[in-house]
Amino acid sequence: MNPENVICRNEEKFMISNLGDEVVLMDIQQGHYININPVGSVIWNKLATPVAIKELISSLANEYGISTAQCEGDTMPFLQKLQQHHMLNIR
Amino acid sequence: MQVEAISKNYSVEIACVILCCRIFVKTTPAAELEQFVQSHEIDWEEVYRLAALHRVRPIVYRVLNNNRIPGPALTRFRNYCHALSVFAFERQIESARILQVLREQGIAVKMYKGLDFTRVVYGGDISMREFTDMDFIVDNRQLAALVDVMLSQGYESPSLEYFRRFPTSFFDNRKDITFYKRSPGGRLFSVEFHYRPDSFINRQLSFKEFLGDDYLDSTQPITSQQYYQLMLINHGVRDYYPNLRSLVDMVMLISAGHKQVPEQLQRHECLARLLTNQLMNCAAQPVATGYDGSLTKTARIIINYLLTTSTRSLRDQIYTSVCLNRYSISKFRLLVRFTHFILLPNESDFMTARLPYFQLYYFTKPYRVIKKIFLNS
Repeated sequence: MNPENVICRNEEKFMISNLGDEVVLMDIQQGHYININPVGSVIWNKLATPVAIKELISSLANEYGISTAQCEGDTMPFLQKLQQHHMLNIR
Repeated sequence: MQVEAISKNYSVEIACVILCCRIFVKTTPAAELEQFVQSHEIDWEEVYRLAALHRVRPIVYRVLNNNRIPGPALTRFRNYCHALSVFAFERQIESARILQVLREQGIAVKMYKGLDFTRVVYGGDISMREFTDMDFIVDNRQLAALVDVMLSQGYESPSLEYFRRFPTSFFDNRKDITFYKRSPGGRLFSVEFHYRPDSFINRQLSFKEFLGDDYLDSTQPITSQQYYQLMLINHGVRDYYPNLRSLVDMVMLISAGHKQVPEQLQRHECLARLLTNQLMNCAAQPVATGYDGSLTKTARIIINYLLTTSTRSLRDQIYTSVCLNRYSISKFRLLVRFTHFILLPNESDFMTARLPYFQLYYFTKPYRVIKKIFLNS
């Protein structure tokens, strides 16, 4: 996964519930529950439509008033986790 | 009713729960909550208890959370809502499995109430509404086959003895059959198969009347217009709006639009309008049928129950329904029906003694009830 990739969330295998500012998902096949914290939920919601990773990072950096480098450092591990759980479609 | 009046005459906490419900159904601006929280000393534990009693915890949590209410107040709500999500997900999977298994055996069933209702009426998020059972609609002619399949899937039914020994009486007097099973994780799955919307007001009432001839076609989900009538029966006719959740449901359905209801439901529709207007601030147009003294008196009684959150006994329910009827003859008929309902044997009677005829059990029930009262005293 690199900043040029276009990603969007893969909802097919999951049941999703919005709880306040958090998101709870259940992997239908594996039976695992995944709880996404409020910041993660902001990212998850931005992935409803396909977006380039670099654009996502830039938008988050603006929103939270942090540098692009810091935002990338925080966001990439989260996106990698989503990928590990097959929660992303990557182009 | 003004929230301040509720707060003054009943309690700040029930007023807070009602305010959250109103904000959720968009009949009151969200800004009122912040003002309310600032101007009252609120016992959040009590708010949680009342929200639980009225089965509106997900609604209250969403509104409190969206309006940045202090964290400690939210913790219990958050924990409950997480648990409810897991509960809903598991039941969603089990419902799909049951549908599939029954379909393979040629038994047509359709999801109803609970999860399906939440999906249709609450914008698709299955954990936005508290529920307990997995509900399905089934044709009663397929009930015997359905029982066999459910037993083969590890489910048990407390009604099995009744159903097998006196199937005709079972069909006549009941509207559904319930099954239970413990999941491998130890959680209890409860499944209800309904073959009639109601067994009290009118036993001839069938799902066909509300959902059309192809009512078991699972490719055609129940619409919110159809749910409006079915919930008038479920919440109104049967339960006399037992909690705030039932009123939130009705406001959501009124907002979604609906068709004219059959004559026998019109008074219950009037009652729903009165209650949602008073408690949910819902300004929906009154229905054509007149509002009379007995209707407003019934509404007052129910509002009092809801705001004082006193548990309604069977006697209270009888009183409420007798009040709702305008004419003496219909009040009398209702009392006869209630008497029959009270005397009607249930599962406990069939477990107590094995008698050859169903009618004989009408004598065992009073005996069992009196014995229980005597032992308790």
